Amino acid sequence: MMDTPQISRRTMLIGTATVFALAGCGLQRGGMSNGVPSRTQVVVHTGPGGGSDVFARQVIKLMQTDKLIDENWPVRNQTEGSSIGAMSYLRGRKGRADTIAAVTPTWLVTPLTLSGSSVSITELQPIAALLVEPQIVAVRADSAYRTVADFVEDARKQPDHLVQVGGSITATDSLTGKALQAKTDTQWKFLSFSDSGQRIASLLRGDAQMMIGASTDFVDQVKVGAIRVIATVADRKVATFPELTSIKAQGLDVGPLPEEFRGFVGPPEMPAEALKYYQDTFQRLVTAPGWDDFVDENGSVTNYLDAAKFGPFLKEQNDSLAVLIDSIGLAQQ
Amino acid sequence: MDAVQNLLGGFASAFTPMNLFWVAVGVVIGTLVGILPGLGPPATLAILLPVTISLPPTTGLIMMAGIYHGAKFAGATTSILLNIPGETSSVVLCLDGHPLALKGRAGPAMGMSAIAGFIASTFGVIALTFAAPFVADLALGFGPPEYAALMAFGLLLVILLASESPIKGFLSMCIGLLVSTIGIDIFTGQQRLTFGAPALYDGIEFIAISVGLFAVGEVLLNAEKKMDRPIFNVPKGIRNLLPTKADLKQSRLAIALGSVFGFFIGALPGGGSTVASFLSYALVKKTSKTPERFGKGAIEGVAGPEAANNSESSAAMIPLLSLGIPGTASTAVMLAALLLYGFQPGPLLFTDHPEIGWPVIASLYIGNVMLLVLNLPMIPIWVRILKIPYWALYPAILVLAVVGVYSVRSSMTDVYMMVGFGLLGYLFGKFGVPAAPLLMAFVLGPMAENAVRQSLVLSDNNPLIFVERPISATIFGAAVLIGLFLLVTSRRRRSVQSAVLAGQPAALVEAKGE
Amino acid sequence: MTQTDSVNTGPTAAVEESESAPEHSVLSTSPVAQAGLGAVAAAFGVIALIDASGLDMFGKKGVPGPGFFPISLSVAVIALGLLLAAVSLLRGLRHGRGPAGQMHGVAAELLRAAGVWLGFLIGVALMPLIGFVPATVVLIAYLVFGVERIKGIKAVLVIIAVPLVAYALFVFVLGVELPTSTLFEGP
Repeated sequence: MMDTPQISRRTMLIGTATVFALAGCGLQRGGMSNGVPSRTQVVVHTGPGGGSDVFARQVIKLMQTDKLIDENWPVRNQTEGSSIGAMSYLRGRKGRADTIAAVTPTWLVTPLTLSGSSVSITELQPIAALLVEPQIVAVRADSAYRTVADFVEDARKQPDHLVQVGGSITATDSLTGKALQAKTDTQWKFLSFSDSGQRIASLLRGDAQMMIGASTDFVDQVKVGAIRVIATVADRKVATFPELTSIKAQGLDVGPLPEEFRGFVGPPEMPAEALKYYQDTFQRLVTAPGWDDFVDENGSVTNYLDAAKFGPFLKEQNDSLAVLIDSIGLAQQ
Repeated sequence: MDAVQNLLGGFASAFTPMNLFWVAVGVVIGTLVGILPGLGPPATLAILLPVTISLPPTTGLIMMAGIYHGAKFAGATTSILLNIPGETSSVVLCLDGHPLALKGRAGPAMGMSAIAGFIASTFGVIALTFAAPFVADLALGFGPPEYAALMAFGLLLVILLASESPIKGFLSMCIGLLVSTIGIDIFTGQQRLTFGAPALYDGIEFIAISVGLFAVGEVLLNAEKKMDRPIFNVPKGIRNLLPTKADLKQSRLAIALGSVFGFFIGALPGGGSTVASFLSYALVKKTSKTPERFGKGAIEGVAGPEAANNSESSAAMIPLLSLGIPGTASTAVMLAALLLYGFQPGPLLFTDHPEIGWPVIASLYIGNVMLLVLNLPMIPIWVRILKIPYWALYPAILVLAVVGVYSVRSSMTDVYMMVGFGLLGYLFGKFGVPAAPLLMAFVLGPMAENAVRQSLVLSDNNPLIFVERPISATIFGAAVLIGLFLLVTSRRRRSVQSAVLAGQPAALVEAKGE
Repeated sequence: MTQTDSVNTGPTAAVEESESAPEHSVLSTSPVAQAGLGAVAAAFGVIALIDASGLDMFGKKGVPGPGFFPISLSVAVIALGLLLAAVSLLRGLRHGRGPAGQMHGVAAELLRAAGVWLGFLIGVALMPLIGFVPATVVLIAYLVFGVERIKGIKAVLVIIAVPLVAYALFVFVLGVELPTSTLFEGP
């Protein structure tokens, strides 16, 4: 009875829907004007609230406040495989101008320690390094250690007894600890917690004697007098703890130690205008007002490297990390 | 009475018309966004972060509290109505909440979830104000051996939970434990059971398993028969849409247990709402006089876990106060917001910026009240969803499942995992294997293993560390005692029951041996 | 139990029966089926054991190493699987087979569920290929027309509406990522 009109109605519906759908599929990202993307997607390898995620959001917010960008750039959490997922995703966006990613040493370490990772940072286009987060050595406030040399001395007297608490064994703090042990010929235990709250709690409870971390991890506990910071790992002054000396200055010359850097990379074969655009934007960011306060508040140190310098920097970090990882037996399995 | 003054001050500053407006908006948006499985409070908060940040700090944080509660309620809604676990802490609601919906009591289940949550929230805020320093000290004393003891207690409860057809329950639990070891070991950096696939480096995503086992599994089980009529029974009349006085009376103990237990777990750094709700469920079931009703629609099975969920969100502020570290993922996002506003979270937040700290706590509570006010009347509308013919509903459920799982980390692997676990959920249902132990073990497993290994690293492999430390010894002792007690009493009950049923060899798995 | 009783009489009783049927399916008591389940579980344990055996059971000073728990657990799974198989077979021998015709409707049920599951799997696999919306349209069309044999304009409406609403809601309103097609990438 209703056959003929029903068939044509149905065909029409299906037809429009398909057209709509096919068109819609392609409409996921914003447009571009003369090579400058209006809405860039920033990929991070942590979940919401994690280190890179917060960093990316802070940077985006600063850029908006300084009127360097107009739109809100969305953050994409690509957490698979501790940066492998993020790298693969970025590599898959080859030739596009609308995606960048925030990188940390994890991007270098993970491929070195895991076999089967077919992607590496060398395939991606470095854009700029922004800052380093100097690592700080901390002990409980009532501890007898005043310098790192004290701790190392004690460790030498009690081999494999003292405890350093930190995150994953392949994280920067663990590698720094291992490098220290190797260079001073001492041994101490490493306790891994995935939760940063539990790390501090361990230190406060006395389960661990030493912890290496970023200023932000310790700043409040130091203010209430529960934790004492005794050294910076690298040879840099830190605004949050200006009176701290470095391990080297305390007499332990152990050579270069891993640094926690933060920067941005883009997909392979990124268009030249886009690369220039991002680089310029970041350069203006670090020279704009508000940047210095941001860096100081977070206990970081500005370390701007443009694309030409960031590439070799990454390579140099990668090489020293490779040597370190190999020496502690964590190389590709 | 400093704390009380501060709290009241917090309420006063939070209670402005603008804030009330935005918290209401937050609740509504949170509910709508949180409907998506996989988009629990943390992800919802993260998505809406750009919106909340554009508001002044106090307002923005209050709005976040509204979003948080809205998203949690939405998670409970999908769990109860559609057996889709909205997010980690609402998985346990599928166990008794969904059977309640099937029986036509979806409204009471959702209402009880909101009400129990509200009561627990009240308890949580009061406990936080008065007991915070004491609990903070206690929580600080919780090192690896204490966590190991707590996890042992938890796993014990899971084992006892599966006392019907014990072998299959045990099997389910062991499979869950085994699957939880998949991934990179944080102690040695080595891959475990990843079969060389980078997608498995971080282990299997919890939401993929839970949505697969519960939502997809149930769809497949229902798909066996032609669906020419609705499978849900939706009663008419307002009276049937809210919990009755009898329900509330029945749930008294569950709410009390859930609130206290949830608060304690929430105060531990790394405790988490999943653990709190799971363990509360097991505890409530085990202390009930009629445990065989659980899994088939016991209202306490909804009240207890929801109470735990809500009191733990107040308690999650404690690690924040004492260590400056968030206790749960949602608090982590709220902290990210604080950072973006320019505040440094930590013990000094409350002394340096009391205008932020106490209103935050007050706002969590206000958010909960707002939820009750806005969403209870909406329950009849939500329940209407069940009236949709199942042949149209279940494809939508499948699509929702895909979007939800994919949205967690934009991974097709997760989606495939969900499809696979859906098949497993179906087979489990057919073969009478309980799925809950697998899921609970999956959550508790990594925490248990890490705690044990950390403890032994600390003690140079000396197992006595578990009894040398006072808190750990107490918990282990309690676990052993409770375990023995329950084992003995259940065996007695089981022998009575099996004697009764001995005359029916073809009887189905009603021989639940309780 | 008072309140629930009054709601449970009448139509709900019928509903309860039919929804409890999949739970208490005959497969959950048939000794042969249970034995099969045990065997499959044990096989799964063996696979895990083989893969995990490359890891160290113990680390320094005898502390449990990365392999300790995976290996012990896979052994436990194997043991439990075999135990289940053994117990079921014993029970089967003791009580004899159940009443005849018990397994009657099972094959049809399994096939139907399998059909839905396969369709789901294929639908998901199509998403990265042709995009979320087209794949979902195909999936739902398959389910509604193919499996459920529902006809009429309502069916078509559902097939079109659900994917589009999902797309509009999640991508535009919420900004959530959906699987995009590799063929139809944007500018």
